[in-house]
Amino acid sequence: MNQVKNVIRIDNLSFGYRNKQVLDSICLDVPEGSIFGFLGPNGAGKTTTIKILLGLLKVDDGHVSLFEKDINTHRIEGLKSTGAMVEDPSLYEHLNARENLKINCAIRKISTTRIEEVLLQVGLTADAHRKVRNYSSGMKQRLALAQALLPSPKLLMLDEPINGLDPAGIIEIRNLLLDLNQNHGITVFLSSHILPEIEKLCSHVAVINKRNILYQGSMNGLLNTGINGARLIVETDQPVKTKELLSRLYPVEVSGDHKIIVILSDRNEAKDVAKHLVDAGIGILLLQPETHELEASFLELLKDN
Amino acid sequence: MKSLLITDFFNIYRGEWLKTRKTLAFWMTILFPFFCTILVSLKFLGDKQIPTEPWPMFMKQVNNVMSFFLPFFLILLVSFTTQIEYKNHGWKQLYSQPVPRLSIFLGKYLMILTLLVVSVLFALIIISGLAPIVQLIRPGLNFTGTSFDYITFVRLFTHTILGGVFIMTLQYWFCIRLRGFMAPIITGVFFTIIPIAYVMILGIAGLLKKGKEILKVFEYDPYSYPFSTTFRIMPADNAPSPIIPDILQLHLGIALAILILAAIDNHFRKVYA
Repeated sequence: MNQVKNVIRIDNLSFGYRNKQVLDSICLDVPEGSIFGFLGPNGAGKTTTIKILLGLLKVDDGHVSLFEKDINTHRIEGLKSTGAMVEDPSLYEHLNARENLKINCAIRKISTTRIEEVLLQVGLTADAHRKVRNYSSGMKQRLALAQALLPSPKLLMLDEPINGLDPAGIIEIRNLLLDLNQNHGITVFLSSHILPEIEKLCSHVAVINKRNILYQGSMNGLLNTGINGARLIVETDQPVKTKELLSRLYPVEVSGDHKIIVILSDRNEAKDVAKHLVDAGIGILLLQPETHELEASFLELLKDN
Repeated sequence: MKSLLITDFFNIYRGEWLKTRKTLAFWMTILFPFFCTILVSLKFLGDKQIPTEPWPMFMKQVNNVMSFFLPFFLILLVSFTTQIEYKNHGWKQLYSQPVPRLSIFLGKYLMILTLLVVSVLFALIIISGLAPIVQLIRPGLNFTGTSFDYITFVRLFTHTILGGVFIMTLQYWFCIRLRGFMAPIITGVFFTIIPIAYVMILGIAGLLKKGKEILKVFEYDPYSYPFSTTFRIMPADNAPSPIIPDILQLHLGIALAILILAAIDNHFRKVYA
């Protein structure tokens, strides 16, 4: 049986700055081939964790490995197959995009032919001659992503990669990350505050708050944990009868726009709801899970903590 | 491992070249010798006496002016070069690359040293270009009729470069440790101004003529070493001094020790960015 390899493995990691403890014995496994979302409120320790993974902070206590290589003793080997973007983009603003990428090519011994490839991937070819200081924050974000893609990494570590992007840019980056993951087998580890995006992108997720990991596992697992149940929006041709019927079977709410929301303990119960309605001769106009389920689960997790 | 360190070191150095172009540090490298040569040219134009051997005199005076301003130049040069990383969040990009941290540390140090050497090479070009123009304005100066004294140039400017290594190394450590822009500049300027102020006070008190031994102490201070040699390099008897005098050997030895200490300090840092 093939066992899934973890490209990132964190075991009992603790870290603190002087008098402030930031991480407290956290454990994290990022499976190969996943798009792994790392969620948490500001100051929860997301960026600190990413910095430790990149060797920018030295570990106080615990073990951290990239591609099964300990980051303390085999930092260079671990980072060879990694592309990263941490916090604000690291770009030399007095240079243009090509010159910025050329510096990375020089340092990492990468062929300069990769420059045009990554510029095309992030949609910056037309603006590559312009100085970075004249870029919008979204363009800087794309160029930072191009930097991360330059070494053709097996693992992409991205800290808030869609910050500053407009809606079209968010969709482009989302599609790019999905393409890199699905067609090129790149594992993506990303932190973000934009929960609907995480929900659309990620196969796996971890939630960190107050120095501890509250949840880690598959995205479906988090959505199905029944922390707050799944919420199903129901719209039919007979709203009164629908409400009467469903309220006998499930907890039911009525939204501001008179839609019926059925609270399920398990997402799989949605098919039972449909069956009950059909059996009662009610015409179904809409049956869909309420959006921002991740948001609800995330907030519920933080509340419990 | 050793070859990896050296290869990565040269790759980092190449990267440093690419990013230093078009920066304030690079323009300062050109403007500093230009400014010093212009000052000496103006002096030559205003002097009543006309030297029979104009080249060595011109070079010596450019070298003296450069030596006098060298500490300030180096303080700014090192700060501007490291500031490129602070301003552009570059340290985290550099230290997350799969290269030895020592290569990153030494690559930037070598870049700053290169800029100091480039500055002296520009001085050579600017001196060669400006001296004939000075002669055009003041025809009595016979630059074109006498040959350029390369030996004097190499002696004088090698001494200047080596005299700056100690300051450069200390400032580099300050810039990496203090992490800001102003703090290393203020620290460096403070150390530079103190001996100058002390000499001025001695001069005002009339103790300067008696205080040759006191002044000699300044030769041990890296920040006033170039300043102190400004006086020593222009002795009345024009006696040639060795390119690397004993005191400079001591400075270079201490600079090397500081560089090693700074590299060790950098290696054991907990936070790189």
